[in-house]
Amino acid sequence: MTASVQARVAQVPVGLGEVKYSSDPREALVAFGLGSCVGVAIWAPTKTLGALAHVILPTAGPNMRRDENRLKYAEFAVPAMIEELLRRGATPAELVVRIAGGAQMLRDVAASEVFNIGARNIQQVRHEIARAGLKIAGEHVLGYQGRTMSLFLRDGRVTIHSAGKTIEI
Amino acid sequence: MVQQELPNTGALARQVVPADSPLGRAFGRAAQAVALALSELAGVEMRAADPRIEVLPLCELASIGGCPGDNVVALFLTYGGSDSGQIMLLYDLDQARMVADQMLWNPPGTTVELDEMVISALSESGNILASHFLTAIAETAGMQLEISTPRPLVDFRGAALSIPAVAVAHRGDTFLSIRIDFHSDSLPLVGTTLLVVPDDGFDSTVIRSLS
Repeated sequence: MTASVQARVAQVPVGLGEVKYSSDPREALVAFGLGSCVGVAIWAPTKTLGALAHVILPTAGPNMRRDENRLKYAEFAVPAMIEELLRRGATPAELVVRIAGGAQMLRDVAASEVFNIGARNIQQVRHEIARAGLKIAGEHVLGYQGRTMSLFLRDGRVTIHSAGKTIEI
Repeated sequence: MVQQELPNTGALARQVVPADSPLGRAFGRAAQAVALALSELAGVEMRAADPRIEVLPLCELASIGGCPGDNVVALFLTYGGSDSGQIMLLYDLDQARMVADQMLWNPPGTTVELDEMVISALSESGNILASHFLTAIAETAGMQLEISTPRPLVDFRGAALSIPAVAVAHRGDTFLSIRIDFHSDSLPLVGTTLLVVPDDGFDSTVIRSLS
């Protein structure tokens, strides 16, 4: 993509615990600074429709309130975004899933400890995607560095910016 | 672009505690203590803005003090004792380099790379600043508060703030944010943000005591 085309792309931030949808080719859905959180991007090419979730936790505890935002949990966000994409006319077979994030932000915390929420988030996201019968087409996960994940609605590309580099997954 | 419907947290969010309230004044005094210490550490006068004490929606936590995609040096601490909570000190990169120069007795402008020695020095600065802050608060509240060892990271602001976000998300969709921004009048690119998130929000022992 040329610099002039990139300049016209409007970045739509996807905040903590949010899921956003767009079919506007001039937009990119962006989860800035994913740490232990996980970004889940799903692209439906025939509808040029995309969704990006910014998941914070794997599962809700038994004390979850009824009015709580369920979309911060992987166990609810992933099925909800798939259901919404299908409701908007996408077909299951066309959905392209890419995920990023799940870093361990505090290096001195042992990987086995409950505090390694990033790895647990990734595990739960993978579980929900498999349960929906989908496959992950690309991922950039775990490690110790934060990431910014962008889903470009023009063509469904997903880029990851991390440690000073930008790559496509 | 469409956002999936979220619970309405707007009513709870934006509860702002005025700076001239007892709570605002108590944190204002603590902010001045930190500003003095930070000025010494940075070798330049740093001014504290009025503390912003407010309930915010969780989705805004990653952008406290700036864009979540900005690079920062973050120092994460927790406090315990009579009360508990999380503290995040976020240095803009230029601020971090200034503080590192002073801490390592280097001439201004020496530090470029944020290597292990620099990060170690910055961690110590976080210990000093958080101690000044908590001591001021504890003395006003008549309580005992102890801080943990700072845990440093150089990363996106949003990634660093995902650490307190996890604990906040476990408890609900909003959080009590006590945020103090420090700026230099002469160096506009230099700034520091101190964020305090009491575990129990307005029900925290310290907050109730100071209110």
